[in-house]
Amino acid sequence: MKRFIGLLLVLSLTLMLGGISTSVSAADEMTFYVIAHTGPGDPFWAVVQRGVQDAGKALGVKAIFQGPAGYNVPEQVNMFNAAMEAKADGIATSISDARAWVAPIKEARGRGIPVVAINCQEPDEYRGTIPYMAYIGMNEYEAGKMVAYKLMPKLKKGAKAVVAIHQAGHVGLEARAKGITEVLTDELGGKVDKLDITQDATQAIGILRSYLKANPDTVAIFTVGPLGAIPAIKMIRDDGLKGKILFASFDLEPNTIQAIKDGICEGTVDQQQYLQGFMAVVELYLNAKFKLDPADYDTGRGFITQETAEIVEILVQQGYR
Amino acid sequence: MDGQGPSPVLGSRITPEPDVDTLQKHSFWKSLLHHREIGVACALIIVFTVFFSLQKHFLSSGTLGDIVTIAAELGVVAVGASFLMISGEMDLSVGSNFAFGGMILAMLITKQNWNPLLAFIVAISCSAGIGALNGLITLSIGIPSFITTLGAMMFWRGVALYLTQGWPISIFEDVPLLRWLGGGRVVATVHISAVWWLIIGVIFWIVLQKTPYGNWVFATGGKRGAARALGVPDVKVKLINFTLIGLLAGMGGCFQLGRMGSMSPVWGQELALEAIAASVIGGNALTGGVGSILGTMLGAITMASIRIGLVMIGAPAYWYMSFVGFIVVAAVALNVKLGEVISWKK
Repeated sequence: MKRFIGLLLVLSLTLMLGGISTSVSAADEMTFYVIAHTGPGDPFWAVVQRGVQDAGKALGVKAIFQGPAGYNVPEQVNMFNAAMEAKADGIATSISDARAWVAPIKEARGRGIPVVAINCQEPDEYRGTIPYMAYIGMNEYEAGKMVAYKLMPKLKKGAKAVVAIHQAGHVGLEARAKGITEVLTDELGGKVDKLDITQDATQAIGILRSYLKANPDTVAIFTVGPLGAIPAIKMIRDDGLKGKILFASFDLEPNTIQAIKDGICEGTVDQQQYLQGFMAVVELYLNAKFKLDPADYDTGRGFITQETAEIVEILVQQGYR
Repeated sequence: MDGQGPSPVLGSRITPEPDVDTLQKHSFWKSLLHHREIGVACALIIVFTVFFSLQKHFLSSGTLGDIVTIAAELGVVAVGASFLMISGEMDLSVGSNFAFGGMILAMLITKQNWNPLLAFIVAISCSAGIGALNGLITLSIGIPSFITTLGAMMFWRGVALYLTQGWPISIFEDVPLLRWLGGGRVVATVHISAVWWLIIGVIFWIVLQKTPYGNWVFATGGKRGAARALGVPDVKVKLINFTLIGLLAGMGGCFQLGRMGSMSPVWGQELALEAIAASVIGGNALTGGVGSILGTMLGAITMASIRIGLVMIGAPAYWYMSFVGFIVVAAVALNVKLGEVISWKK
């Protein structure tokens, strides 16, 4: 019995190390790390991981995606430090906290390790305090402008629109709303109201409904994420507003995609996170190889419409979107 | 080790009449085997060997500094967990208390403009109070500490989320106290929190091994009835240990705030189980009565090494859990087997 247990322990350890050592390779190979604040257990980050791995294969370098099991900044910082000690040729990380990243990234740059930011940045008022070389991710404000431009051909001059925010004060969501509002008022002379619909779906429907009752001349609704899109879609369906009101949103999510296919939603902005993983490795590789300085890359240029919804749905299942 | 006898099958296999040399060797090994830290020491050696063979940068001063820095934040809580575990109780709310302590400190400094030192004292006192409350509820009503602290874990996490509305609190100004808590470095990548952890570890080791209070802690967790008959104030001991683990959890949170400059109400979620795992790897019995502070500290270092090592060799992050799970069982199995061998040799 004792021998059996001993054997079992040795066997399982060997298997574990065997599994790990297959991912460990030659010492002179270039190694890049992409470190996120959440690991590949989150479907969003699983797509980023896929981008990192594909870039590694395409370039013939070792590209490693790492992230804590759940949202955990200190652990992410620990992983970043470990990547630094492993003498990585470049590291990409999400700026998940404006304060916690100042020291680690300064340290890495001080040691001559190139660092780029992916997915999220520090808020505007702290911009420039963290010395990463470039940002690869969605520019929220530009994405807001894009969605407004996409809908503009369908809107008359001076049209009235509403931007529904489900989390008032959220920096990213407010930037999306700002982009929409600016384009519609400046370019179209439209009137845009901002509406706090809360994160509660039932409340959100009530708030939207009473807004439309009070403002019957509203021709377009924008929501800034799934938590706003889901109640808005339900209201449009329930109240038979299809074809009477234009609607667009942000992010990929089954309800929104279905609404696009049904012609209820004009389109949704996709931040194309696969690019955040793939391009981070590419930019770090080019920096290590040819000293090319990494450049900002706006991944949030994806806009999914009725024509592309079906193919995107398949790509979501395949783990690329 | 309740004096389990040797199995007859095992006993018959041993050759009789060893010569003097082997006897001396035996007594050396025997004295070594008496240390509960032997299991964790073996685990640590294996972990280091494996990582060093796969990644030559693993044994650098930078890596070792990172390891002790991570171990400090976990280890300061694990030391408290061991103390409480030896006295026969456990605390699942340490993760929430950790975040709560850090939050209070961050909030008092940024929102109330308090003197940082006073804010620190208030923050760790709050955490100690939460620990004491856990103890009071557990001991006065007589519900298992598992239940009390499970409830406390959820309750205080909720309170921390409410107080901050879910947002992290960051301190952008240069506050010297934060550098003293964990932001500053002593040498290479070793942060000052590692020094505080070492000091706390030594204090708790002395209390446990060299004072009557330490004896009471062991007695309370070992045979409570006998301890009570001998006049050990077991309820008081447990209450003090609940308070101490609260205090240490709050300190851990403040160390992390010092290093990060930010504290989020959702950080430290896995801390309770990690602290228990570090204690168990270090040779503490979940049932109480036996344990070692040195073992616990080595346990925390083992876990931090796994965390850093796996990233350095580029293994998928999820191996961490599997690896820790493996080490927990292997280290405890080794301790149990050694326990059998020792009692047989007696």
